[in-house]
Amino acid sequence: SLLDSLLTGEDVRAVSVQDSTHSNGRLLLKCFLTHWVERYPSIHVFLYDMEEHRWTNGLAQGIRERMVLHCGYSQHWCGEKDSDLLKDFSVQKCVEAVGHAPLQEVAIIIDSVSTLLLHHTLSHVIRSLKLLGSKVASLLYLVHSDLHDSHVMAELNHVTFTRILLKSQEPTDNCTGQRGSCSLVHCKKSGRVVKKDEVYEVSEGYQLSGREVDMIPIVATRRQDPAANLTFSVSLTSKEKSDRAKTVLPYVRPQQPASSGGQIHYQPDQSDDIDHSDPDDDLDI
Amino acid sequence: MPTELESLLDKKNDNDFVGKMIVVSDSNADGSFLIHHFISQVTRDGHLLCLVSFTHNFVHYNTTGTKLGSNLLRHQQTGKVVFVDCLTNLFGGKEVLADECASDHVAFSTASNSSLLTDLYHTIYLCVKELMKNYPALPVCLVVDDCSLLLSLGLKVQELVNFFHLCHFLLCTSVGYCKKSGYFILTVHNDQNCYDEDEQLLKAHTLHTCDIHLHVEGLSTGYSQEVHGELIVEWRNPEQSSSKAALSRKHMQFRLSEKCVHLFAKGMSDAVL
Repeated sequence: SLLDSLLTGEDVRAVSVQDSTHSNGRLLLKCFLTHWVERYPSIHVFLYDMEEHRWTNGLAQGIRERMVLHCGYSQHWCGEKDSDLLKDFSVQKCVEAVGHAPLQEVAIIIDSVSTLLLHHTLSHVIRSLKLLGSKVASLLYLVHSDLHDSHVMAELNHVTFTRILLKSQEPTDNCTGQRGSCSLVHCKKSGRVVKKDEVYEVSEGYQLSGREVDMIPIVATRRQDPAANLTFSVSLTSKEKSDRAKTVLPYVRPQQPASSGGQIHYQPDQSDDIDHSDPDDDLDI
Repeated sequence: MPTELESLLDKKNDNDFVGKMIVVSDSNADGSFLIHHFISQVTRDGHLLCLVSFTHNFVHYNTTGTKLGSNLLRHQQTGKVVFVDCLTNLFGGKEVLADECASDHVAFSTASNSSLLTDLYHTIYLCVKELMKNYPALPVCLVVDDCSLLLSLGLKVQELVNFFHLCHFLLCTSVGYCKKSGYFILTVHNDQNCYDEDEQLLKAHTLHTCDIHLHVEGLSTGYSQEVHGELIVEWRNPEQSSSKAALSRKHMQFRLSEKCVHLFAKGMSDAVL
């Protein structure tokens, strides 16, 4: 599936995960991180939504050791004027934070762009994302789509090559993981745009597996006979059917051989006042 | 003995909510009974309380708390409760003085609209600091009732979002002043039948940050004497600390009485059975 290929890092440039209050995109961010540590020598996470220890909660120790986390949230709210990655967000600051690692081998994850948009103009954030995406190997960021209006989302969609719009999220049947559905739009390097609807399942250790919606096997369901388990019969026996066919309905006369001309048979009621005189008697034809 | 609401919220220990942010929202119904419940619970658990209100004065909370079995006035006199009265003292009145905190109602006021929330946060910070200075070992609870009223005063959503992020940082983070020994309860109002973009946006912002969301709404079929509304509780896991379900939900109906709230499964009211 397209999700599986994005997890391996193939043809991945700038990816946006768009969630809402009904589905948490941070789950996918952690899944991508878990898979990308195998592919990229250097992964930097820029955190603006919560504290460091809260975000890394649940990640394996091996994953934590192989990522570098820059906590703009703590820097900003603690009032660190010298190094406030949230207030001073820019491409230059991000590149300085990355340090000496060659940018072509670096993957950057941003959580979240919605918080950046609270502190910076849309044009500054978009320019920075576009430039950052062109400098590093892969860029992945989270956007809370229900916090922005449609024109902001449209502008953000312009600078991504891949967007994953989360639709639903629920626990799995055995409650050991989560599953959900999403829509993906992916612009390949060749220029072709692929749109797919997929379902995903996240198991323990943030292991994600995706599947296209069309590939879900359709189980043919037998139409159940509604009269199968009744305590009374709703069908007719053969005798009842023949009796019904023989029933003479009222006002239906038995068929008579056709005689010349049409005949009208009229059975007058008691209250009928029939006039036998010819109404055309006064005509001189 | 835990109340029905505490059982619904799975509250086993006094400190279950410490470090968390709880959002109470309502739509076409009055969710204020939840705030009174939480205030009563905070005082019963022996925690410190900083109550910021834009909707009622202290007498209202005290009177309602008495019915629920807690004496807010006594707790205020012992320095465990501070009431910040924004209702009567907004935009005028005496300035906030630091030594007034924790001793009497704090009269909050500010000179200009633009620094309203900055001054309010400063007041809250001083109140929390004073509470913790007197009782350093006890958790602090901040209750703000009702945040969405500030939108009607002309404040922007972004300002309110920054304000509740500051409060969240102060109480619920390990690097904030309370060192995660506080918790934060916030109310927002958003009627679904009258589309208010700002209220919806504010509610969405709070939901993306909070740990527990309690939503009160009226019955879709209209008013009923026996069933007063529906209560939906969501445990959100914003940091996705495990692959397991982030959102777990309980959907109940309730009936309010003089001293408590009765909860039951949908359609299982005593009047129906």
